[in-house]
Amino acid sequence: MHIQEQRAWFVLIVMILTLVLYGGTVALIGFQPAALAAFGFTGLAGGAPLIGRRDEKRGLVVSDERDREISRQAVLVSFSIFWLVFIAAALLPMFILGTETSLNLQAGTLPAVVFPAVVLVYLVQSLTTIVLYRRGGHAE
Amino acid sequence: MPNKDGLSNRIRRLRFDHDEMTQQALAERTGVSRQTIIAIESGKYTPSLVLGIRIARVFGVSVEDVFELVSES
Repeated sequence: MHIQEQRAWFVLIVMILTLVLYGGTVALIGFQPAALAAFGFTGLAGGAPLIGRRDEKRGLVVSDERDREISRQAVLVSFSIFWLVFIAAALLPMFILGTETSLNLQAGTLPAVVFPAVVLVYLVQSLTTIVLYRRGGHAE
Repeated sequence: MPNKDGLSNRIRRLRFDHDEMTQQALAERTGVSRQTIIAIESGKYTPSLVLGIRIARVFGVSVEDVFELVSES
């Protein structure tokens, strides 16, 4: 398995575990701000570049033009999906509640929206990366 | 057999003709990973022009001796 694909698997697993952890915490304590602490688990994804460091030190090529193309496409797909969700989240309340309705949001609502959005982006990005490597990474 | 872009290649044949050069050796000489060479050989990835030229130079042939555009579509 290619190193970049291994890194994508690692990130995917971390994101899935984060969601499981968040779901478990919410099930235990409810939608409390403390439940957001589960998203701290995403920090583990920062360890992904450590995978393949040995090969890098040995002078082997761990990233080339095909990897960059796959990475570019994965970022494009993930942000496209994020954008769709973002637009839907912004417009749906207006269509459902009407344009004149005012919403009273708690300050804790913002991180409760931002953290899952970050997880969504990384989840889709890593999933797309894996799919593209499995398909051979054809640039189209 | 041509890939989706209508591009076929003779890399496997050329490797064989050059003392059965391994995919790893070709990868090292062109500055890419072995997986990329595998993907190009099997037609799953269309390389950039620069990489195409690098591969041709390794074998001492022209780009068109390595790659052939079968279909214009």
